[in-house]
Order: sequence, then C-alpha cells, then structure tokens
Amino acid sequence: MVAVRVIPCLDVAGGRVVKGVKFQRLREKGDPVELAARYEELGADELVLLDVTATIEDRGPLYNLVRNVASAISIPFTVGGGVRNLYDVEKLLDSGADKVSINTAAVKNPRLVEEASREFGSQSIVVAIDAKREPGGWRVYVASGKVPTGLDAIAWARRAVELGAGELLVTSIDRDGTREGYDVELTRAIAEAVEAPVIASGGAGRLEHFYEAYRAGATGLLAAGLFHDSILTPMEVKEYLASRGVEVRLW
Amino acid sequence: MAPRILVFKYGVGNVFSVKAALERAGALADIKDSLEDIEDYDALVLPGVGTMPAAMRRLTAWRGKVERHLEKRKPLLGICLGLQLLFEESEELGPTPGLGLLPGRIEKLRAKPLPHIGWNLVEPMRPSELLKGLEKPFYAYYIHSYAYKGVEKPYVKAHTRVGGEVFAAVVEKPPLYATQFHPERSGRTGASILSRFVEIAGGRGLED
Repeated sequence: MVAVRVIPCLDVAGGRVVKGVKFQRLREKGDPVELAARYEELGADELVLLDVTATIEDRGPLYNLVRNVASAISIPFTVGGGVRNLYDVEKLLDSGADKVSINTAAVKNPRLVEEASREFGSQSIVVAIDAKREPGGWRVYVASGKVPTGLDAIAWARRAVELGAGELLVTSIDRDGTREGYDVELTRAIAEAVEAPVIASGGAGRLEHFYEAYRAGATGLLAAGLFHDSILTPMEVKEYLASRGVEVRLW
Repeated sequence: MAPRILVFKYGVGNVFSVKAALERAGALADIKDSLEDIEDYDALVLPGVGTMPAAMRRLTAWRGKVERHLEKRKPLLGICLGLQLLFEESEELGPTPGLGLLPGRIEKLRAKPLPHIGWNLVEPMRPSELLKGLEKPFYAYYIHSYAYKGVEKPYVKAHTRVGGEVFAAVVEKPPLYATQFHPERSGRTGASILSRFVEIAGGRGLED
C-alpha cells in the first residue's frame, strides 16, 4: 500500500513565499529554501512550489530557485508556474523537479500535456486545475484564478488524464486561504471521475479537514497557510490521520 | 578525500537530485553523458531516468568500461531503472536485454493503477552493507512500473509489497548495489543509504 501524502505548498512571488485568500491579497511568509528544508524536517512527504506570478508576468519558470530548493531537500518535489512548452518542462526536470505541474498552458494547448507525458513519462506530469463553484458545477480558471475559461472542471480533469497527466492538483478557489475545509464535493467528483491520483488543495484549516479530503478520495493532501503560520505541522496531520486508521509515513 | 562519483545521464529526467543528494552525503558528484572518464572516478551511479531500451542504447557502447570498473572492485549504485539494467532482460517495451550482471528478468507489476508511485514500506530481509543500521521496515519513495520479483535470491536484501505482489527493493552483490526506490527522494532514511554508499565508495565501508 502506498501511504497518503501530506504536501506543504510554497506559493512564490518575487522570490518569496506568499499566501493570500481566494488567490487575492498575497502576504509574505518567508524564504522558499528555508521553508522547504523546515517542512521536510517536520514530516512533509512531498513539496509543491508554484510560481504564482510567472504566467501573469508572461515569463518562464525560475530555474535557479528550483535548483536551490531541490538541493536543500530529499523528498519528492513538484514545480509549477509559467510552464509554457516542452523546453520549460525539460529544463525544470534538469533543475531538480521530479514532477512538473502545468495549468494555464495545458488549457490553452492540451497537446502540451500529451507531448510532455510521452516525452518524460506520465509520472512526471501533473495538471493543476483551479476551480470555482458556479451554478451547475465547477468552472476552470487560469492565470492564477484571474481568467475564466468556461471549461467544466470534471470534464477537464477527465480529459487531462486521457492526455497523459499522471496526477491532478485540484484547488478550490472558493476555499483557498479560508481555512473552512477543502471543497470535499469537488475532490470527490474528480477522484471518482479519474483513475489518476488526486491532490486536494484549498481550505485546509483543521485536522478533520485532511481526513475529509482523504475520505473523498484524495491521496495527496495539500496545505499552505496552515503550515506557514505554524498552526499545524505535517507530522501532526499524519499522526492524526494514523489515529483514524489511515496509512501514513510516520518515520 | 571525498570520493568522486560519476552519475551517468542516459535519459531525460531529474538526475540533479541524485547529484545534490550525493554531495550532501559527502561525495563529489559529476553528471556525465558518457563513461569516457570513468577511470577518474571511485564509483558509478546509474540513475532512474528514461526507459530500458533508451538507457541500453546509451550503455551498450560502454559495457567494457563498466566491466573494468567492477573488476577493480569499484562500486556501482543502480537507482530505479538503474537496478533493472543490472539484470539479463526486461519486459519493458521488449523484451530488452540488460547488462546481465545479475541473473534474472525484470517484469511488469500487476498492481493497478501503474506506475506504483509514492511512499511504500521496505522490509529488510538479509544482512546488507548498504542497509547497515536499517534492520526495521522503513518507508521509501517509489516511481516505477517494472521490478525484479525473484525475492528468494540471496542478492535480494529487502523487499516491498504492492497489489498482492512482492518485489526486490534492494539488490546487493558487491561491488553492485541497487535500490528500486529513489534514495535521493526518500528523506532521512534515503540520505543515510546514500551516505553508506559514499562510505563504500571511499573504501571505508567494506569488511573483506
């Protein structure tokens, strides 16, 4: 059995870790390299680094930052933000990313997901979906939640996996930074629609929230603000999950 | 003197993490896309990138160099695909012949879905140089679809279970060492395994 993963997320802007609410009002939370090393020490099973301003600023990924974080940690590392083409994917893998997360570029050009997964293997390609609840379901937004696409999130999730995505990182824009809990219905709807592993993201505020997302079918449980503000540590989350009978890595 | 380790990049993927992890463990590591200068190094690492046929296309030309490296009792560490390359043959996109340094065949896992990705338990079975000090089961990070399933063989030192099957997690027949998991991505335990390999590469580890 593969253990359920607790995944701190580093949203980066201007070289610093930031966190907002519903993708707005970003506030600084620290240095990415220091936080990455600290989270590994505190029991993180994996790390995600998202450059949240790359697409908006119309630039590529920050390879040096990726290299510095990758050098400091020895747990799996997913990097996203500003990935536009196969060259960006290859260069991120060469810089120490184990998986590359594609969001805006995947919606604009779904063939990128297909080509990248063929070239580098599905296991290294993650499609990130930022979804907002609207009448009749959830809709996909891109460019850090700024641009609506009209795409249905469930249909897009299915398509992304067909194209070769090895994993989906599903963020609820409505819950991001609110600490009201994951959008469990969104998590469940997507986990039921695809065979690939799903990482739930957006809204974790209490221990119970992690268990709810696990019950909804997520095998990766992502959180950011909660860890940045030292309200919980990844190990505390895993000890709680273990107490409820979930297989996690405790040592 | 820190041992010098050559990391052979024979496919696309992240080998930077292997280099960084070996350096954290006290080695000097270089990523190279040929084995031209292997004589200058104390140890060779075959990392886990790409597919078996692609890796063998790049490795076949250097088979003689690898054999001479091993004849000098210099260690080799295979990681993930690097473990599979040591065997005679793999089912992956084939059959594809491997280096044949160990008898046996690499087979596809039956677990669903594949690849087998994530943290899973490694259970040590037999005394091992590489796993010295790690007698109890530990978690390690996996990302693969193929494996060696002949776990009864004496050179299989630890195994892992997935989807009702058991496969080799650690293979060792000095100077050959290999892990199906990624020690460079397996936290503190993985780091201690790499430190152990660096010790062996520095000639400070093997009791003859």
